[in-house]
Amino acid sequence: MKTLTLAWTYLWSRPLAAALNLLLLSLGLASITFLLLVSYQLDKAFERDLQGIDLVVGAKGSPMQLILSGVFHIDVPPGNVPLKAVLELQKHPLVAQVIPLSLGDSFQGFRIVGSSHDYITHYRAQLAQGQLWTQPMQVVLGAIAARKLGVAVGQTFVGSHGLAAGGHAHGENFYTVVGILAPSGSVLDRLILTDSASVWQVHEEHGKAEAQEEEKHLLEQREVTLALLRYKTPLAAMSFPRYINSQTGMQAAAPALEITRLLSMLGLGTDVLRAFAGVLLLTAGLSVFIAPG
Amino acid sequence: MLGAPPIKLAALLLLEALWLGLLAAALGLLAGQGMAAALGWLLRLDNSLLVGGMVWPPTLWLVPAMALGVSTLAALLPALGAYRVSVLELLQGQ
Repeated sequence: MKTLTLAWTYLWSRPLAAALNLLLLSLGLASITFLLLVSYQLDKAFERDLQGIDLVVGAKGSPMQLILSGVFHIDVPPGNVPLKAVLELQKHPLVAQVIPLSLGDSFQGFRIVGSSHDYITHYRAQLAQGQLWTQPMQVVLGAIAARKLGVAVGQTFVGSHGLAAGGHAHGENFYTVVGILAPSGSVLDRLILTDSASVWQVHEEHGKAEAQEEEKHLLEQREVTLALLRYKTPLAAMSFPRYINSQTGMQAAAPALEITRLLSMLGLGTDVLRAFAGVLLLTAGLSVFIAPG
Repeated sequence: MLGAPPIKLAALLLLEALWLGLLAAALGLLAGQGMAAALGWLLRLDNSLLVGGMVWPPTLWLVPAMALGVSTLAALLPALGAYRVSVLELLQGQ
């Protein structure tokens, strides 16, 4: 015990040298801590948000953009695809489930995503308050979105055009909050979810499809941004993306493939940071080695 | 440390390194958590990926292990040198 106290006093008998050693060592360790934390959390987020999604189908463009916008909601989508083409996919024998997503609007920076109840069921999210939407223009908020927006069940708001804050407001189309999800740790936490029909209603000129004939006509014209697909069999991964890319006007992006590509691109940055941490640790070690005297 | 037995001198150097390692581990962990929290804060402005501080994954034990490893290894040679030195020879040399 006495030696421990003595060692502590001895360490601080040369305060500048001790502080420099401490600084070098701490900086190296902080870089390593940072790398460990970021890679752990990114891995968890990728694993969580990609679970059960075998393929993302959307407009032709960058496949990574499609994954980032459609699964993680951190990029703008490459465009829209016809609803009819997406509904056709549901009939394909290799496809177990199709979840269409419609993007385009946001509220104070939180994306408004038009989909079906399947999207919520897919991430096994539970309601904390209220209920799921039963008609267009009703929304369910993710836990983080609800907390940050400070919006409660029963309140109304107007969405703005575009996926970032600052777009023009959709004047007369009020969304009503009917439910708030419990935190699920998934991407749903930071989204505003509604029926796909809400997004169409906001963007269609007439607002509501009054006549049945008009409704039929609109169905032909309607678009969604992308669709999340689940295969019936893993073997579908061999042929289905090629079928989408060559036989339809849409693009297929396999999340597993794109995330591997993304991680390998990020790899260069993490390698540089790791090397930097290594140099700092080595310098700290040498400094400790030289200092005692 | 005149008059101290060599083993005590060596132990003193090693314990000094141990203190340094422990302090650096605590500071490094806190600073790393702060850096991750800052990144999370920056990203969350855009409501993007969920990265933040004050997360304790099991792999984080690597940080104190590395801190103690580096500081102890660096102090090992000087400690051995201090252990081997003969006080009599040292005084005669002077």
